[in-house]
Amino acid sequence: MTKRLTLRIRPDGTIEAVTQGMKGPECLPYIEKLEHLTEAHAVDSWYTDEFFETELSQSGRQEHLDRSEVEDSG
Amino acid sequence: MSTGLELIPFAIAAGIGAIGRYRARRAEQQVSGPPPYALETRMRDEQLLGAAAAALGASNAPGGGAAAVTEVAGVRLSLTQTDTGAFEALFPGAVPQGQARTVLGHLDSEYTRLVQERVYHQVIERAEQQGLALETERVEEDNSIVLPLRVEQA
Repeated sequence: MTKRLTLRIRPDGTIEAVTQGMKGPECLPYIEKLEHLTEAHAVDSWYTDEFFETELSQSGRQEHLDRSEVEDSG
Repeated sequence: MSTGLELIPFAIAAGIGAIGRYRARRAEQQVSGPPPYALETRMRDEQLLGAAAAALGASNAPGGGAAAVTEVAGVRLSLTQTDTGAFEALFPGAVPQGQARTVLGHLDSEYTRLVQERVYHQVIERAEQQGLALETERVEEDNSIVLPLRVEQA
């Protein structure tokens, strides 16, 4: 999946940045990169829907693995 | 983990609205009438402030010193950078506060427009060095500039 940073530079000078296609802590280094790129400092952050989708699919996969292990051992 | 971030350029003081606190000032010379007063601003970059004032037809835009007296839309004011880095605008007492706020509002709008322009150019100039490729760009109805950048290398 393509990794992407989308910047929205508002007319009031503030900037919203959203990372896409990144999993786990992969996006964290981009916070500093974005601050350098825009000569700005991050004042707020939040998880996007994609974060929760990733979390759900990972927990679903874990549940599947757990059941397989139980079936195999039984 | 995909995240969203809110960033404020260094040129804008965080935590202050377009126009900040009012402070009464003592007149340097004893004069009749209301005393001068200052209004806090969020503008921190002298060069951009000078450009914003000039764009509004200021007669003597700031840009060459810590304090500059200028005239915007017929209102005389002096702009001084405070310890916080943000400028404050000092108005003669005779200028109604409503008029002062209107003038500062126009100045702030022009200033933030210039900040937006500067950030846009910085991103365009620096993206490649940061391993990012600009895919496209668009201006939305509210004049926000949207720039999707593809990550080429970590």
